[in-house]
Amino acid sequence: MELKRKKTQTDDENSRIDYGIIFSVMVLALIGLLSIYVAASHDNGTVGSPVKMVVSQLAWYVLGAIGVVIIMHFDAQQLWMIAPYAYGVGIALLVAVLFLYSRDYAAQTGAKSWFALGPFSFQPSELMKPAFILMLGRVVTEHNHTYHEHTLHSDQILIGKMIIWSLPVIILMLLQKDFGTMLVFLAILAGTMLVSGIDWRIIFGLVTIAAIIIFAAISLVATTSGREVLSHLGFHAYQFERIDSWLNPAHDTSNNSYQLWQNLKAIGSGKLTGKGFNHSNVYVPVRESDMIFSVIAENFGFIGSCLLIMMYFLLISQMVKVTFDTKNEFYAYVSTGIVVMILFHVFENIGMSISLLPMTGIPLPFISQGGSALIANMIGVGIIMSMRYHYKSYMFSSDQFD
Amino acid sequence: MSKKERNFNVELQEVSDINWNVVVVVRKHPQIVAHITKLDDNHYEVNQVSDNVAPKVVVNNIEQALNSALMQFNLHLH
Repeated sequence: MELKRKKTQTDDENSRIDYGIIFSVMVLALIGLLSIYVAASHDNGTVGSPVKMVVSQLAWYVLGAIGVVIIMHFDAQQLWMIAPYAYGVGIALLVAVLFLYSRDYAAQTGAKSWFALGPFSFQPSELMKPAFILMLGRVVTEHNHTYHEHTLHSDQILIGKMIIWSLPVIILMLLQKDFGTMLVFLAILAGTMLVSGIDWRIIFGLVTIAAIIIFAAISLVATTSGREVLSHLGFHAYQFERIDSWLNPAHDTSNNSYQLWQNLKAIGSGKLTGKGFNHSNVYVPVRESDMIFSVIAENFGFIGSCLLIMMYFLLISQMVKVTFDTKNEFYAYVSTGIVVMILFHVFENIGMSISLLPMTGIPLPFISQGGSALIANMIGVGIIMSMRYHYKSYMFSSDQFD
Repeated sequence: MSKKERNFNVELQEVSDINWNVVVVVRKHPQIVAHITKLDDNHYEVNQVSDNVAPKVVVNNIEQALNSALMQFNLHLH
């Protein structure tokens, strides 16, 4: 009898865990570890021992997995309560990093966005992403329960609230000179806005304004006088160089476009099926982190790259399915934010790798080397898994009733 | 039947053989949040009182129906 009860409890626990999401993340983790190994073993002199790098990344995965298990146990009420505190802590860290940023990282990347303590480094903006998503989810859910009917007026108020909660993050990202991460926050804001029930006329207006701003920005970047204006607004030479190397990567292959050009050669040399595992003869700087896609494309070719993209879509489809199953409003907004966060990272990273989009320091989720980004993505996975875990937890069984 | 949760109690009130009300009691204030109707042995329809999101859902058993009603009712807002 005791044995039977234990078995039932285990079955119940198993049905609450989303093994599909775990499988997808594990496959991506495996691809990531193998890719880091390949990158490090070919760039041994510059990035350190391959085994050390793989073990270090594995340690981050273990830490991330512990994070997933902890966060999975938070239900909607707890996530709801945590949201403002997480947002507050995130903002405090983003302010702190402006003063205590790593001078070495700033010299290398131009961004004041890293804390460094001895061999450990940490990017607070990565941890801000899930906190921001939770806060936006809370803001939209609260608004929709205060204003039951969507009118143009109530939608304007909602947009105002969302912008007010986003502005501190956007401003702090600009102060850190981390343009790429700022785009991720804007993408999360846009995605949540899209599903928040705002009238399509307002959405259409916002899209039009965004299109005008993008067109104006490209026009300014493409002209000398425009660049002078942008320089006065705080944009830096390295940002213009990235635009130049994006628009014309073949123009300056020895200097500014070197990384992108080498990256394109590596991807192209993989052809249809790739050169095979651990075969690489095109050097790409920092390919273990932001340029990791070049390793996958060179080793496994077009087919391997397509399979990788399909794996991301599998993960995202599983995340969306969980959201549809739970049918909880707060979860829906939070889930949208997480899906947009992962999707934007994938789109931007692979886009810049194939020269479709300008270069930004955005890593490939679950694959690029780096602890902060991985932990942020794992927190996202933990939140999604908590949805299924608690969807089942409300289930009643007769012996639980008074 | 009823169950104690962290900040609220939940009662499944039997109206007839095929109809139930889901009652959530927050701070001794009971409110009906959803109606459940048995369509056949394998189909239960959940109708939320609030039509804010997904007002009608069909699931396979009474436990899932109750669960669905609670998930759609934003407990954290009450």
